[in-house]
Amino acid sequence: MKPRTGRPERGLLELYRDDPERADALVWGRRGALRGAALAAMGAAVGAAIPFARRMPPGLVPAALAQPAASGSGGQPNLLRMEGKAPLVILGERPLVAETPEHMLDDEVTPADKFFIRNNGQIPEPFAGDPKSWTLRIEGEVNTPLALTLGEIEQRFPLVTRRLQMECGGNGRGFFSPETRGNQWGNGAISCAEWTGVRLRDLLQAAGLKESARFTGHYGADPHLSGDPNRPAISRGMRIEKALDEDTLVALRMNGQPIPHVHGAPVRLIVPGWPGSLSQKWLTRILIRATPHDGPGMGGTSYRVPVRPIVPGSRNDGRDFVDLESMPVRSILTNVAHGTRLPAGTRGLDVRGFAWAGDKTVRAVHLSVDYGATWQEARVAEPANRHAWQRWSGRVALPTDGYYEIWYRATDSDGRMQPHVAGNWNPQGYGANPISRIAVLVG
Amino acid sequence: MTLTRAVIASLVLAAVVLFGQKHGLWGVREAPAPPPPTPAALAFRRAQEEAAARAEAARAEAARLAAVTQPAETPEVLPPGEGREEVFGACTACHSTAIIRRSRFTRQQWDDLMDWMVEKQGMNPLDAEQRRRIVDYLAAAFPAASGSAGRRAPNPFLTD
Repeated sequence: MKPRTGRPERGLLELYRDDPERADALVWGRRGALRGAALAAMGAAVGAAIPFARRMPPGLVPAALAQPAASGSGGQPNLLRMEGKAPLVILGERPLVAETPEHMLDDEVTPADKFFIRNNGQIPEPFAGDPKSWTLRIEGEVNTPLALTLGEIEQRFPLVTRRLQMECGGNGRGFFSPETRGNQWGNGAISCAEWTGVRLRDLLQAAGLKESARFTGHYGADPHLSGDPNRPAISRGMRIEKALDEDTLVALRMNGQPIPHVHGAPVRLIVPGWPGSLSQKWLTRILIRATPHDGPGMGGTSYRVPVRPIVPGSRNDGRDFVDLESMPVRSILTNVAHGTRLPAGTRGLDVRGFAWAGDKTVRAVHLSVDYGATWQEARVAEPANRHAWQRWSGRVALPTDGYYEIWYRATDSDGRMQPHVAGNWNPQGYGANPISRIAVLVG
Repeated sequence: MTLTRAVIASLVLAAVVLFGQKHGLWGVREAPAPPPPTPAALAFRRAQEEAAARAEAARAEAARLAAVTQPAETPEVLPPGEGREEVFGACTACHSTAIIRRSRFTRQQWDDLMDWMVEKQGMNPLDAEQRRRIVDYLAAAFPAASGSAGRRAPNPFLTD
């Protein structure tokens, strides 16, 4: 089938943009089968023949059209122009939020310039004092409340260096349908930097946890967006078990360097595998509590997911939800950008990326170029340490020229896979981890 | 006799000149070398220089961030419609318009969002008429996108 170009295709694209329901009806027909004129229309819409079209699931929007808005919404994406940062995709300027496209995450250790940015409040004034004089307080259900300077912390407690994945709790939100509140992330709110710091549990042991110590609450120096000085921008907390995990760090350095200001200088928490909002930046205080923390970002539908699945798009106050803790399994493809055009006659493509699964590990990654009809297994490396992401690599065959989608699906150590669609819809859009995919065009 | 006088006068003159030079009455006067700075003074100066460098770095970083986080937005960045000015005024008090422009909700969802903004995000409560105008505008300008293709990226392979 020869791809067509010109007016009709633009018409279909515009139709998809303006009236997706009608576009779906036109392209897929009432029975959802993609053949004949509909197939021609879809081929035209993606700009090429679709070799495995008969295996395309009914109703599926081609990846070429279906990437979340972060990859470029209605035109050119708004790119970050800031010294010390790569041109990340800006999702919002105030608060500053920027996503790292998957193909920019090919480094084994995420460099500071490619580290995604998520803020809930204003970015505080940079600390002009000696970083060693910054004070961190540990208070609440402890025998001896502590007020330690970073200089004292470095002297008194052993420093550890670990590669730790840190992911926004809303990563993948853009895959939910219907759309939910919040930043419409693709898969790019993920990082795996090398963090140096002291274990939070060492500080908690020095303070002496009381019998009643069950939860944490974290506070940072970033002002609330409204400027209200009595309102924290965000203040989340976790079960004490996670605070005592050997990989939960009070981090002082990122990739061997002082932490960049926008990433929480001079000290931040790193709570790997759990929603990034727990990894409080510009850290000033950790409150140990007997009851779950109640700061902004806790309770209701914030960082919480339904236990009993709710109707997508319905209203819910989140009273019966539970906190999102360990993040779900996910994979990214880092060496070929979505939308890459390959020379005619290309019959194979080496692909690689990373996969991770919160507190768990990744057991397998599978690849498909025929919409999931057949899968092949990729190689998956061991993590550099617990809570580090894992490199996967493989090669896919492309039997003809034309439009292909590369689907990549990770399976965690409990056997749970990335599902075909984002499930367990919730009003603020947490936990979307559908099978990842990019589109390439051969010829 | 004259010669003897001349010699004596020369010697006296030489003695006076040398004496004067030695005691700094004329000629090149060497400043007494200052005492070497104490280690404490050195440390103090270094600390001052470091503090000045940190303050300068902090100022520069704040300026860089301000350039990114304070976009020069005007109401025209939003699609035209009744209520646009109110929406721009109420919403951009706290956040830029990017999150508005990317959102697609039903009127009910936009309305609920106003409660959420007041309860969770510290927005000043809106009076009934203001709220109606704001929600009407948002629901008309950014209606819910049904299906999964409503706010999707342009096709990377169709460039004309």
